[in-house]
Amino acid sequence: MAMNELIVSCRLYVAGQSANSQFAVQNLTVFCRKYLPNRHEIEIVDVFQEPERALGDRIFLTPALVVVSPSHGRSIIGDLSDNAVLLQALCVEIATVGAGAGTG
Amino acid sequence: MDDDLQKLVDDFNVAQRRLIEATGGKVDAVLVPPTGLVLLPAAQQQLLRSESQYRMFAAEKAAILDALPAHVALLDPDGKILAVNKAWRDFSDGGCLSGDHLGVGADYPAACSSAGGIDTDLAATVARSLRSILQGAITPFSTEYSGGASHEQRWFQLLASPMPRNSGYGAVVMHIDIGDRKRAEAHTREIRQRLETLVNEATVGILVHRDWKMIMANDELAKIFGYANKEEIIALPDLRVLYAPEERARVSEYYEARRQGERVPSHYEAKARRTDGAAIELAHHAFLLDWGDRTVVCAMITEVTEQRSIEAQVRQLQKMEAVGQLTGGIAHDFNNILMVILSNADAVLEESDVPPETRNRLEHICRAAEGAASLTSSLLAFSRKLPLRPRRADINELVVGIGEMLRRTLGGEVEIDSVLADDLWTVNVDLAQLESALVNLCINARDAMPNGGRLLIETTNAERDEDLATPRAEHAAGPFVVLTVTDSGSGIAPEFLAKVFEPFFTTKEVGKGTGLGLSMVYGFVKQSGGHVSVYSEVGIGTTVRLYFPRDQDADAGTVAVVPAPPRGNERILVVEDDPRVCAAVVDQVRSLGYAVDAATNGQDALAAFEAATPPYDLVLTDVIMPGPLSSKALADAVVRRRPQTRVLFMSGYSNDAIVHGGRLDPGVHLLTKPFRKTDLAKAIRSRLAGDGS
Repeated sequence: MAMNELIVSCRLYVAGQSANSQFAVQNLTVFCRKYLPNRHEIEIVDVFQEPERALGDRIFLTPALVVVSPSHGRSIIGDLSDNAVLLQALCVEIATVGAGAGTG
Repeated sequence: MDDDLQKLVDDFNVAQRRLIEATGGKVDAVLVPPTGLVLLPAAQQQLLRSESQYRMFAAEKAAILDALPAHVALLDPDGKILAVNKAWRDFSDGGCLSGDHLGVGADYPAACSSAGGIDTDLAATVARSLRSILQGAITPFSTEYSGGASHEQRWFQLLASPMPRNSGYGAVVMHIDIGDRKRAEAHTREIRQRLETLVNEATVGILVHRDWKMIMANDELAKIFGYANKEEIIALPDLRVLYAPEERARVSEYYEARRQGERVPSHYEAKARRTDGAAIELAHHAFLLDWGDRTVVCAMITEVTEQRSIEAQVRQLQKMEAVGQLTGGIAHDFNNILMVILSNADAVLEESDVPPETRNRLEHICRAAEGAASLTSSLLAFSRKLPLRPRRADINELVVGIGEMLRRTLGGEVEIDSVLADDLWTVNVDLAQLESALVNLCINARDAMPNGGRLLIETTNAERDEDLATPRAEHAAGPFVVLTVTDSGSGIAPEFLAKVFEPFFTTKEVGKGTGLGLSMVYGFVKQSGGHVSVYSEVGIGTTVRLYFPRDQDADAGTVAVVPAPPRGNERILVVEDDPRVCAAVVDQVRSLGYAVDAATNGQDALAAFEAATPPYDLVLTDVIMPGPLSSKALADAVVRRRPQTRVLFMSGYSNDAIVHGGRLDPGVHLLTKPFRKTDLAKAIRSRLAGDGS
């Protein structure tokens, strides 16, 4: 239960309107709406505009997702099309979201 | 190219390819610290494509803006108009924010501040919002406004959005024509208001619910159930509480079945309870209705409590009417038979050489026949076929007059009180019948109080009948004189109350009552133009009220019975179709000394009358006669030809030929069968003496 009440906060680095970056934005939004309704925060950082911020998070490829909280540091590279990877990265335990969790 | 350089380029290409392979092609760019980045080939291609698309849009920006249906203006950071599209330029209808010939170079917020022809508060708000956008507010501003001449009002939406900083622009302002949407909204609003008015003004209760939670109700529904307004009824958590407990299962079943598309009655009735606890009867018309994305049940509800009660009363009245006609018919035939028995017995009794034992038996026959006649008379009273002799009367006098007799009749166990109105109106009733009715009621009251009790006789004036328990389908509205008899007896059970006026209905033990007492009272009061109501509570007592119409005609005539000599020698023509009755009557009349002839129908009688020398002094005719010439026509013809000749009617019951509304026409004289010889003698003498006409 305590896990369910936590707000999951993450940062997504994209390269402008590039195809994989846009897929990543879309996949992350759909995932959060489904598994973390009303308890997620997403910050999108465009490396065209703010390349220096990527350095701070030690990001060298885009798109890249960095989990900010509850546990900071974990990152995923790519278009975020694999929900299982996202579930693991965002500390969402499969048991707490039911049997249909893996099919999204 | 230098070999070293060639090697570095190859390494770079290999590195890129391996990076793409390692990430499955799912990355776009490689960051090169501190601030650089390298786009991977796919992303580069895409960027080039979108660059060229953007350049194409940029090249056609003016054309695209001109094609927009909105009026668009681009403002510089100070609010000056830098560019407008075609729609803006073409729009010359004054009075709107975008109008008034505001062209390139104009200060748009300033023009808004001073705009005429529109709501000045709105103009100020628009100007303020625009300035705050120009000063860096990032939230777009939107408002709707109307303008134009009153006969052709136009609606616009104003949208002001900030432009990116450092773009050299301040804001973009758009005016979008929303007239169609506004008109559609107004139309929808009007339809909704129209429907709301119809629902609220409807005189049928409207109930829309899903799973017995109210979705919509009207005021009429609240009124039916006794609530002050529809909000109170909408607040109910489960509407089934409105129904009588025994009905809840049935209405729930109907609801479920209807929801599932099964066949259930769309019209049905159910008992319900008002907030004050009164039981009411409701007629429903229920049907399914789409309500948003759900299906609900709508019921149109009408209260039919009073209607059903009146219908029951009318059915009861019709039954009484039918029973009345039946008993009247039987009584009439019985009277003819009794007539024959009595007159023949009388005739034998008059013979001088009757042995005492035979005389005794004959007297038994006469008494029994008279008893039977009294029964048929009660039946006739019930069936309203008793010829009444109404006269102006004061009911108080009657009550006082029979007080002593009642005391004797009812015995010492019953305490009799009377409360008589001082200024009681007069009524036009047959006093003998009224007396008999009153005695009947008092005897019923006594029988309901075997261990004694209190009997109250009241008289009152009433402008109208306030007694809601009385059938209202038939009688006049008032004013009335009310004669009330109340006892403190055992009362009548509700299931019997409706039947007490039916002939032969009695709650008394077998042999104790004929079941005709109240029937007679009922028939008599009805025939007198009034009505009867009974109110009773078991264990408390019974109240019977007789309502007689107030006598509004001060000149109402009285029929006085003048004693007359029993015999005579005048010439009399007897007209009677039943040969046995005819023979008996002829015998009686002849024995009184008169010269008698007989005829069996109207035409024969008239022929005999015209041929007679010397003429007849009196025609004694039955009321109901076969053949084309009725007794009334015969009487008229006789009086026309010889006014001195008198006519006397005799009948088992009266009918419309001589009686209208159960009352004798003025100048008509009637002898009620069966009659004794002395009655006949008096009536004949009275007619020949010229009484009454």
